[in-house]
Amino acid sequence: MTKKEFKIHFNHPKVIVFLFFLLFLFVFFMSFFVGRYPIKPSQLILVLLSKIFPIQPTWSPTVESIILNVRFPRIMSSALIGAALSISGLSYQGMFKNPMVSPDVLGTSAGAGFGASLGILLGFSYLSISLVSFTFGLIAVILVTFISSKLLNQKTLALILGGIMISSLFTSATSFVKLVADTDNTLPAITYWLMGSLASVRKTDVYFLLIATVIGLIPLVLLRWKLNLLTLDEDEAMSLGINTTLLRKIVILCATLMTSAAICVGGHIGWIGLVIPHFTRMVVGCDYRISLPVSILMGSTFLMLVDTISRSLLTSEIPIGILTSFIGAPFFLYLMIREAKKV
Amino acid sequence: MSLVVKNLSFGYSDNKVIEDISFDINKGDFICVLGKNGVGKSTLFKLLLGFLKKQAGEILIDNKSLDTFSRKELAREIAYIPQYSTSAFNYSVFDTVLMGTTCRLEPLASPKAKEKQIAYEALKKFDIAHLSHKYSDSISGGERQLVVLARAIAQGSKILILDEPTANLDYGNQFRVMQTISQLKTQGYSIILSTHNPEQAMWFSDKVMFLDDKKILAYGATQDIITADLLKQIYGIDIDLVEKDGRKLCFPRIQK
Repeated sequence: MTKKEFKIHFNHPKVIVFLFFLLFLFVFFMSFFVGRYPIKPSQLILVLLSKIFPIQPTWSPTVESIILNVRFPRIMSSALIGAALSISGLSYQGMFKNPMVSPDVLGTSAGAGFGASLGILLGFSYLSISLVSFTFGLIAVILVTFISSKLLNQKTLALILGGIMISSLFTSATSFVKLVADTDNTLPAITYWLMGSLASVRKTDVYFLLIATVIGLIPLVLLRWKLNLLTLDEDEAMSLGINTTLLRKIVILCATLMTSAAICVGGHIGWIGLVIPHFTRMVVGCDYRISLPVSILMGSTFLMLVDTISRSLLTSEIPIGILTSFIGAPFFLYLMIREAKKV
Repeated sequence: MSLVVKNLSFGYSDNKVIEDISFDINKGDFICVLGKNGVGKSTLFKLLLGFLKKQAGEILIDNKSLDTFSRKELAREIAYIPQYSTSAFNYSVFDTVLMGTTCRLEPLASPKAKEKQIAYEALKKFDIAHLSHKYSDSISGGERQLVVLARAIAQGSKILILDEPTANLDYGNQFRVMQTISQLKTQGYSIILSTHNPEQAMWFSDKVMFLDDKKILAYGATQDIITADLLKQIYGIDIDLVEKDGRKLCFPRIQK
């Protein structure tokens, strides 16, 4: 192989990853400046650096508090949720050999949402709520997988049909939770949280999200090459030396963990898990070695951007879940029409 | 390298799909498996590839039972070329072939320069290196089968199992792909291939195996086994075998 061929094939994607990383950094820092209380770039740099180096504060405590306790948790959590949902979608799609599935379509979101609202209703602690949410998210995926395995003649459709059914089941269950919830405290909490909002995130949320996302992400990153083989026909993947059963279990656990963690903190934020993986593949192709890092960067950049818009567009905040649907649904339609035209 | 099958049986409950099959394959053998639809060709292949667990008998690879192989170890011995390779996603030809090297990698590793070189050599072997950067939806069916063959070569396994590899190809590509496959036997590969076309067997294979009603009906050197009578018995049509330039052709009679 000549040097040039090598370059075209293998160095090109790294440049793309780097460009998306720059975009991520840009949006990350710009998001600090948006908001009712103005912050100067110098203040931001000094406050962030003061966490690492001992710098005499020349800024007011209000500025520090807004940067560290208000904007930092929001920006970080939106970035983490965006990344978690995108990676979940990307992994589910490969594992189910179906580009049309996502945490929403598979019912994971609805299951995790039900688990979390049940946890809120029962007055569980933070950690217990997330565990219940994870468990129900997992139950939803396993049920959908089981249902689709019974409809072998309709492979693509089976997952989607199963997902619609299970989603509706868990959504109804959530409605029931809301019905019996205390109308003064619990009901508003569940309702507002379900809409998808990052208005009340705290630093603990960021730590929780960070840990859950890293735990879910590490196995997927390590197995990124094998995820490619999982998209092949079952027999082919096995003949190439892949333990498909084990690999599939790992992917389900990791993706569901990330999805439910994202849902516990941000509520139901739809469409990202479907749109970002599609967009990623359109830009860099299917290879998980590249699409994995790119979709992390794209997903987090996208949600940071949407969250910044949601808290600054109107005087009162728009729940982020509503905005991602408004942006995600038409964009997905556009992608679908574009793909249909190619054939 | 040797593959030995002894008294192999498989079936769902009392309904046997394969019963008491024995044969063996050595280095450089090219065996064609023929038989009507549903006589168990695919089941036999699935057993050899470990997709299905046998109920009785033995499958030995180099005197080691197939059951003792992990997926990865088995992939180093046997490669599989399906009728039609499918992926829900669109990979480049190069990446597709690179997937073949997975069974040679450490559990969590991605292909490195060495594996990329192996994939490139495999592509060159079939003269399709120029397709490297193309995507699987923009190449022809014949090219796609060559890509899957290259992937099997990159896998490094010496036994190739091909399940009707030409079933989806046009006439020209059927012949080209078969010719390419038959060249592999001189390079130390053992080939087991199923087909519905007796001419392919007569032109390219050394041995044929006819399956009928769960069992081996006939097995041996191709020129001894394939006769007009046997083809008539299997396929239920009147056939003459015509010879031209040392090759036999099937000549089914048209019913008046």
